Amino acid sequence: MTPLLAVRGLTVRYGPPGRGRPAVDGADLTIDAGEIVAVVGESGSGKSTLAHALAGLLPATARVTGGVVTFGGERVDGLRERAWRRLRGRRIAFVPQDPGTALNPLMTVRAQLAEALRLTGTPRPGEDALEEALGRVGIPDPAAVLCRYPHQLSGGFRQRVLLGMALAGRPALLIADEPTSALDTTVQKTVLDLVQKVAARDGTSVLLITHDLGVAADRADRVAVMTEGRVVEEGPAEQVLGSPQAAYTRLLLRSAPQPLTGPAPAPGEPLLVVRDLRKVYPGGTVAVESASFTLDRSGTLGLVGASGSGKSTIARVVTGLVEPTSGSVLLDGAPVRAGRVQFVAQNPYASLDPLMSVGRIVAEPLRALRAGTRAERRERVRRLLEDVGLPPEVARRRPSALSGGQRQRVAIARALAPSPDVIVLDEPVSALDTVTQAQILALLRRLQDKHGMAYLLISHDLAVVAAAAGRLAVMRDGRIVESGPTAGVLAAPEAPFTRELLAAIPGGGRGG
Amino acid sequence: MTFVRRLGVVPSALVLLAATAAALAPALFSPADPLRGDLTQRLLPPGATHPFGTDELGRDVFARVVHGSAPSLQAAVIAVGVAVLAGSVIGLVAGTARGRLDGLVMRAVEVLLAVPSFLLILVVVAVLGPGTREVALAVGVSAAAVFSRVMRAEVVRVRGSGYVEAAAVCGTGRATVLLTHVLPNAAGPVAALATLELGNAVLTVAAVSFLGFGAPPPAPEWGSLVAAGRPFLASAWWLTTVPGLVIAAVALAVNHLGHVLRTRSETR
Amino acid sequence: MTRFVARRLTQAAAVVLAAYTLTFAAFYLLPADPVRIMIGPENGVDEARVAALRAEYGLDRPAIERYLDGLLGALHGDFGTSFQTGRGVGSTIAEAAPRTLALAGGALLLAIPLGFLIAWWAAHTRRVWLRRLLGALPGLSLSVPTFWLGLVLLQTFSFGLPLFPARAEDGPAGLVLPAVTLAVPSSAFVAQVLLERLTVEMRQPYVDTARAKGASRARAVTAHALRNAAMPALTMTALLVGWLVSGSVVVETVFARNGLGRLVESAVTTRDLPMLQALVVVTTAVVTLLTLAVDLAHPLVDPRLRERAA
Repeated sequence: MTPLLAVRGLTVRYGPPGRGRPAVDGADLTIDAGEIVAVVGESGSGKSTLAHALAGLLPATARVTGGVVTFGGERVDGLRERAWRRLRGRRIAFVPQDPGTALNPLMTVRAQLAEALRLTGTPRPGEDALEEALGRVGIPDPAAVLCRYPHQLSGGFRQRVLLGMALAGRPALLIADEPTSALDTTVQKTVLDLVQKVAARDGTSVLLITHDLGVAADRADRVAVMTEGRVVEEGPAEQVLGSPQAAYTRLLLRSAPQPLTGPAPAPGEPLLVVRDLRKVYPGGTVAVESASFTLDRSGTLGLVGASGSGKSTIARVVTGLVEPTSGSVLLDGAPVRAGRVQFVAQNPYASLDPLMSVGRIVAEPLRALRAGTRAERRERVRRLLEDVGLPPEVARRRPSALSGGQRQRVAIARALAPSPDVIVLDEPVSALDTVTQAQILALLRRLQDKHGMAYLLISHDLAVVAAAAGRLAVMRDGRIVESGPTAGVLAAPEAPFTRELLAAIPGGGRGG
Repeated sequence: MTFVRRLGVVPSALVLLAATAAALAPALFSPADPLRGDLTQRLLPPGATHPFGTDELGRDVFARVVHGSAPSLQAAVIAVGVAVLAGSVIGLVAGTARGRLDGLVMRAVEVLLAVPSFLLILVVVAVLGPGTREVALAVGVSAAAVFSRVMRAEVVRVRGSGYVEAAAVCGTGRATVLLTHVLPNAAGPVAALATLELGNAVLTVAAVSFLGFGAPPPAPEWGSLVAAGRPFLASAWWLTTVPGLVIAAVALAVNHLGHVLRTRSETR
Repeated sequence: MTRFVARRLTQAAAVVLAAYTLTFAAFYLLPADPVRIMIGPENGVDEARVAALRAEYGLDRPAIERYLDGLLGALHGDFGTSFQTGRGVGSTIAEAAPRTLALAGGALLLAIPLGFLIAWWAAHTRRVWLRRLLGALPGLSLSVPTFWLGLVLLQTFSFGLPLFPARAEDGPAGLVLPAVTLAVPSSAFVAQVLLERLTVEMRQPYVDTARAKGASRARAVTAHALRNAAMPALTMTALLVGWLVSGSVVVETVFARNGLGRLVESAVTTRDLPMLQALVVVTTAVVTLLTLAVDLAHPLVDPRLRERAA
């Protein structure tokens, strides 16, 4: 049987030939009719360029420089724009990454859906055709949704509308580029369930691009792993994820956060005590309501919750960036003194001054505390960089010359500089790829063993918290709804919200 | 993109270099006196002895263009200097003060921006009187509003950035944060705007001088040179065309270099 | 919605009032005496003549009284009498306005379609050299001095090839060259802003979505990207009108046309302060009203603003 889509040695370059590595470098891929194939890779692996190339949607700066692509037995590489237009929408459909920006904000759902139907061969789509298209993607009240503008819909509904438009022409192949990575975990699950259901019903093949191994494991028949523009491994999902052959696949699997094992840490000596914290922002928004928790000396407390749950406000109060409305934050029974609590922020691209050298950035807390002479500070910076696994010559570079993981190491070195008692880590790895994420989490553990400071780890990702924190607290709507030793909470969650969070973690098994 | 840009950089730099050199040492380029004419040599077209021709009093146009570059460029540079300085101070104060002072200052800036800038310049010229320095000041004042707005936006942006937050957690003082983080990072976009404004200022200064509000005759200024050639539009084309081309070349060179600098700082 | 309109109207009124106050302060409150500004520093000062002039224009009255009187008059369309001609400033402006409106209107009629065409074409074409050429065009046109462009056009099309009259005061033929002169930088302005927005919008995922549905590139640009890019361009049109008044100062001088621009030029030359003040206030009012109209039109185009305004 000829496969629906066969890619052999596809190479895509940005910019002039001969300069740099191609974005997609001799990729091979096969999709049979009715199959769901996941392409897994990190940012920069070329997976998104591959998806755009297969839909004929490469930007003007990119060119296909080699390889053969056949679709339904016919060659489609090197097709002219006019020929692509006959394929797109009718035979090959595409769902882009971020549903927030993938719909035209100035047009109603009706206008955009009608355009999709017109372009795929329904000259004058009637009301029933429009409503049917939305009904097929599980929208309960199509007539009402048709009149809405994109901003009036939730992220999940927007993604359904996009899916409805993509499926309007009954395509043979649906290419979905990270369709759910911008959505909350619980919404992600419902959208992926829908994709799977529709594919099974219509016999549509799906090419699912994702960075998440768990998503691939749950949804795909076959998995291809991409790194540096190459497909390093391809095969049935159970085989690729169960007994991986390529070194990179094994690294990726090993890097997925694993819950801490071993007995729960015994309650230690309380270091940071937060009591009845309440924060009301001007305008009346209550961000945090009567939050109390204790962080033990040399311990790690994970604070987990969805965006807007108030966990970042707690980080800002503990670090002294924001004054609480009421309640107390005590370190060793006294108000926090300068330098005792340090901070590592989520985005390593924003938290380092782009004009300063790494050496000056790391020395900033030392200068603020007027610690040591210039030479002593330079020596201290060298040792700090060594501590976080960076070579000493990095001190002279600017942040723009570093990768995301290296930048986060610099931010950690800066936080370590005044030998603090507590470091607040606000989503320290959420902007990083899986492999880098595992390296940073390992580094944080090693530093804690060596220097003995306590961590307050804040994350939306239960898996990350479970991998790093001995105790955890779950936040929702500004309140702490559950707390205790991590292993205990995961084994027997009490709050319904905690159970919901646990169930939505991808990689738990095949959905449907 | 890069190739075409680089292709334009060299001629642009050469034009700018020549204009600056002419402003600093005009005698080096043209030994002829820009003010004294030879009445036997009136209205000669461009040729070997007079590369840009002569005017109705027999003065060498090339000498007049060369000697005109000092007042013309000076006025543009002073104008941008005034705009950057005044605008930055206003924007910095508004951006750091926030609250009521910020609101008040920005309302005033809004009013200045609502008046068409060329009219604003002419209002200032009407109050101060004509002259090269007066025109420079007028152009600077009218451009200051834009700079203050950009500076304020930058200060607000940098103050909300992750690294300023990190500095606060480190215990760095407010003044130190302002000097080491806010100012250097806000300066980039302001400098980029300044290069773009310089090209604009060359053109605006020339236009005001063309209208007759620059230095009084017989002093050569690029704009007034073009104006002086108007009666001979039909008979002596070089009197208007050549000085105009010089203005266009300099404005184009400055704008092009400014554009290249801006894209480079943005992609970095 | 009504509260939103009312608030914006108050803001616009405040801006015009501030422009009036600002010019009043610049002309009558600064240390420089308006009569001395008027006579000019180069002329010798005859104290008796200064005193007579002060009395004649009522400048010996207290400033606050003059300010309020002037304001009240301006609200009724009475901007006082010209220092220079002794005629009413209001009627002089009303007489000159139609000629400048014709010039500015002609320039806009040329500039807006041309600017849109350049930006649309540059965004749509896949030919790299053509895109670069079209993209470089606005910057090039904006580097050419307007007064010089006008002179070159006169030289070429009136003296070289006698196609258009050199000094035609009225009539459509005399309007062509001035309108083209004014339209060149204006269209560059429109093209620049629009192309910048279009380039941003073309990278938005919704353009990919449209093309994935099977839409052509031309359709993706026109029906999707252009619609989203048009609003900033619309805002800029209001500013452009203010710029056209400024540009008409130069263009009307070059082509010896009478109009508002010439009035500005002669008011500055003769230091006719009441005339200059009225011209500034009227232009600012027009620009502010246009900006207001565009702001109020935004919610009609953008459904997201409709809810915020409500």
